[in-house]
Amino acid sequence: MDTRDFEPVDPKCIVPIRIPPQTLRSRGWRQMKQNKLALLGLGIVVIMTSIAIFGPLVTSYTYDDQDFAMANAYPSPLHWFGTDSLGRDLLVRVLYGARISLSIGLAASLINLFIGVIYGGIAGLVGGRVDRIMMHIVDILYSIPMLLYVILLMVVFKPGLLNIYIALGIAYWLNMARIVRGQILSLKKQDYVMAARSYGTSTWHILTRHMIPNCMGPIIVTLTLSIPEAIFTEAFLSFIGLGVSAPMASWGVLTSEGINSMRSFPFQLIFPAAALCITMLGFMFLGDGLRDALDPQNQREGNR
Amino acid sequence: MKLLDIQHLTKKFVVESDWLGRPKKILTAVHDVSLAIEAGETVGLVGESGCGKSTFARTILGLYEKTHGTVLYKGRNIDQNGVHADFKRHVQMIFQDPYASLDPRMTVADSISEPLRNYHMCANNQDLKKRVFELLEQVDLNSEAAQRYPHEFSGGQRQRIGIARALALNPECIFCDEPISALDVSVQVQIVNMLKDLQQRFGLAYLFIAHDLSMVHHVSHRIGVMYLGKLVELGPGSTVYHDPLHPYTQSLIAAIPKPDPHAAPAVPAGGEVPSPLSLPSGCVFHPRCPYASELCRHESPVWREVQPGRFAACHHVRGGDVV
Amino acid sequence: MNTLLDIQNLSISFRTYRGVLEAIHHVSIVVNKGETIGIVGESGCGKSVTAHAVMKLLPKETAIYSPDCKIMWEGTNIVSFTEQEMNALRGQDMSMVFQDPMTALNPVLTIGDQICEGLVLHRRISQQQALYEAEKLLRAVGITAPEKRLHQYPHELSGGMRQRSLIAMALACSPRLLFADEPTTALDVTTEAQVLYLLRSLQQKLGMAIVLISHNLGVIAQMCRRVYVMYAGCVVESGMVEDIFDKPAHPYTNGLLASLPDPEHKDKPLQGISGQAPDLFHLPEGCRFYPRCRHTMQICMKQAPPCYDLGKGHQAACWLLCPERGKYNEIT
Repeated sequence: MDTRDFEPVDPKCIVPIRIPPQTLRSRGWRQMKQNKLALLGLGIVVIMTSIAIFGPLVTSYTYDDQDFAMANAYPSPLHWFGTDSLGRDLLVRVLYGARISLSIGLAASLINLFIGVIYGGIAGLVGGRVDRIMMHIVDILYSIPMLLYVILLMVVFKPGLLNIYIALGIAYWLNMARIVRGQILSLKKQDYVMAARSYGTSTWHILTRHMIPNCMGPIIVTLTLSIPEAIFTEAFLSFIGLGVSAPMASWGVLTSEGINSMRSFPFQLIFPAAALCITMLGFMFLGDGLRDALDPQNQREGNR
Repeated sequence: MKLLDIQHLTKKFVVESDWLGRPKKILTAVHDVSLAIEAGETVGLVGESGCGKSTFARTILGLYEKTHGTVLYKGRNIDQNGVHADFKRHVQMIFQDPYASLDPRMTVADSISEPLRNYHMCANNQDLKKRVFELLEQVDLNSEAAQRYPHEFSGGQRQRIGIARALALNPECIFCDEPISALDVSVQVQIVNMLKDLQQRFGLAYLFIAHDLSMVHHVSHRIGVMYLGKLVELGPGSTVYHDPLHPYTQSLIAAIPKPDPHAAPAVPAGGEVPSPLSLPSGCVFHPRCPYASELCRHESPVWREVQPGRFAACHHVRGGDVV
Repeated sequence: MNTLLDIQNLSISFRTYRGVLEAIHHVSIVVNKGETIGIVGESGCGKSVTAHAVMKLLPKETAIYSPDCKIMWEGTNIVSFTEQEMNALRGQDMSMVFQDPMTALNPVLTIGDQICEGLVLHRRISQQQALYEAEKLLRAVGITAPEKRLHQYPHELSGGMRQRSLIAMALACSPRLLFADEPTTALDVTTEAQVLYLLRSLQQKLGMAIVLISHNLGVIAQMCRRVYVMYAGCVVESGMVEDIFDKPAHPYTNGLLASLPDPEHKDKPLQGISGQAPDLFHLPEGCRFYPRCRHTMQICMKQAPPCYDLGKGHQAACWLLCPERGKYNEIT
């Protein structure tokens, strides 16, 4: 220690400590990265999606190429997943199935997003009696078993890919509507929304600038979790014969066909069923991980 | 002329309604409060939680719809067409919780520029950017702050951002709703000093709402005291603090713990604040008042000018006899 | 022996997803029997963590006690106590009053049930007897009609009543040490005065020691005999309450006191402290207070100051008090 140490320092010379910027996104991503299960889910979803998009392009067979000579063949280097009773390559059919199942999941949740956000948003924003009536309607629809409702719609619409999209989309928006309404109601009381009103922000801008961006977290989570639900419902519909029509194949159709020959050719059931299960788990893990990462309350704690 | 003249403002909330939406239980949060604010003046408003002081401010600004009463802005009723827009632009608000009053998904620059965009105050993005930097500088924040998000700042810094946003529209009056109660003591002083400084620079008027009476006394020219939705006393700051008229004000001041180990301990007033849903008859303070008489139990005291410039609603001002 | 609790060199770190964070650093605090001490500081300075660390209420998965720390309870080091041993100590010998009376009470149990829980557990008395005791306790903390309150739920009581019930719960087994963690922060001024009055009179009657944690200097000045001032996880000054308030030695204490408005001199501008408390992940080197200090010297930016004794138990950690500094002043 020497006496020079006690020389006063001009306060202007003290450099404030710089804290590196940290965006909400980077923080959410960091939290995701620590969640191994969520990363696994993300991986599965990405792989399944790319397989669904590019898989069928690189195979040497198509989903309706029949080869009776090779009917019910066990998995081999020629047919990795084996073939079905009509001699169609099972791998290719599972890949095409991925296309159909994933596109149904996506389309159903997009329709569900569209209806749910608008319906829930209006109920939450307008409030009062309108809200009460709109939510009573949701309650009534909720009391009808969902599958019954879908089956009824399918019977009316007749089986077919487009009609499955529509039926699932208009059946599954209830949950989304409830969540969006709840979010909007709680956001309405937030101080920053009050503040925005106090300096003259129009209702439209409050909705688009403040409310929707702040609802995105729960919406994305609900959406992610509704995709496996839609896939599963489609599989079930196909399984009972209300799904896509032959020779197209979704995972539900393939499982249903596999069941018939379960005893003699179990691989015909196992491969499509496994694809279905893995995809569903992938979406579930991803949804749960997103829920943890996007929850604003979690983030405030994470700040400490 | 008075900048703001609030006359007989009343705000009732429906707490419970039946299944048809008809009101069943009504809470009177603000009951017949009249208060005027002059240009460049600070009016402090104190009271315990739930006394309606925040509701009062929010109702004036139209964040809640008022039940009764009129608000005059420079002598004109703000319900008239044209006056309202003018009023909304020149009266701004700062909120209590600096964590909640900024949109977590907007950068500081976006938050501050939002009021400017609403009123098309800047011709182009260049002007907008310049104005945002200017506002940040006025609240002693680095221009680097503009691109950051609220969660990266401490409470005091966030409150500064809130102040910058309130200043954006060049207001004449700012309602400060408990601007310092969520902050640390040392940071409270920074904010208070800044508010005082801005007042001198821009001639701002403040409605300063807080429950910390000693801080309110420090910043205010006049102090109003609210109890259960009613204004019970109003007068020049120092006289209200050093010579309170209303027994409630007296008990509030006596209850402040003094930061001096040699001072006598604070004297607790008896009783508890009654539920605003079932108000006592007569004077609402009578169950806790040491001077309560038969008259207080039956008759609500009128709001009157006790001395020039000093108002109170009490039968026994300073504990004295009925006047 | 007069010492009840002797905390030596307590450092607590937390595992967070941003890395390990040291919340308190080398904190040493002594509590004598029957004495009220105050821990004062701003949010995030580690005052609550200290109390929770002594009670061992910190989450086990994330909190790390430093290896060299000691928490001596009547001569026994309790750092290595098991959960079972701590349970015997908690509630019976030391208990705590929490800041928020709404969240600290279980909303689905009546007040009576919650008070009786501790009584039945520690004193092994029947529920009947416990209820009788609970009624006596509620009366002691100034709750009117206690026989009725026993059967009410927390939401039926006002904030002040809830805080009184919490105090009654904490006192159920007549502890010898009571931690009061910001007991009046959530309350209004008039209720605050009532609760402080209650704590003071209970202490006189029961003779327990109180560790009062608060950011309110007024509350500290009125209640405590000795005070510890904390900043960014460290104790920066400690001493008798009169010494701290009349002759503050640390610039931080000084700044805190200068932040309070003086009602007699309304027009005197408030001094305050510039800047804000540091982020514990990005602590300044040397003295943790130097970026906000008025008297920063070269050494403050290099080395953390040791604790200097100013007599009568008054201590402060600041380079301004270093005897060597006199030499510099002589030269210039």
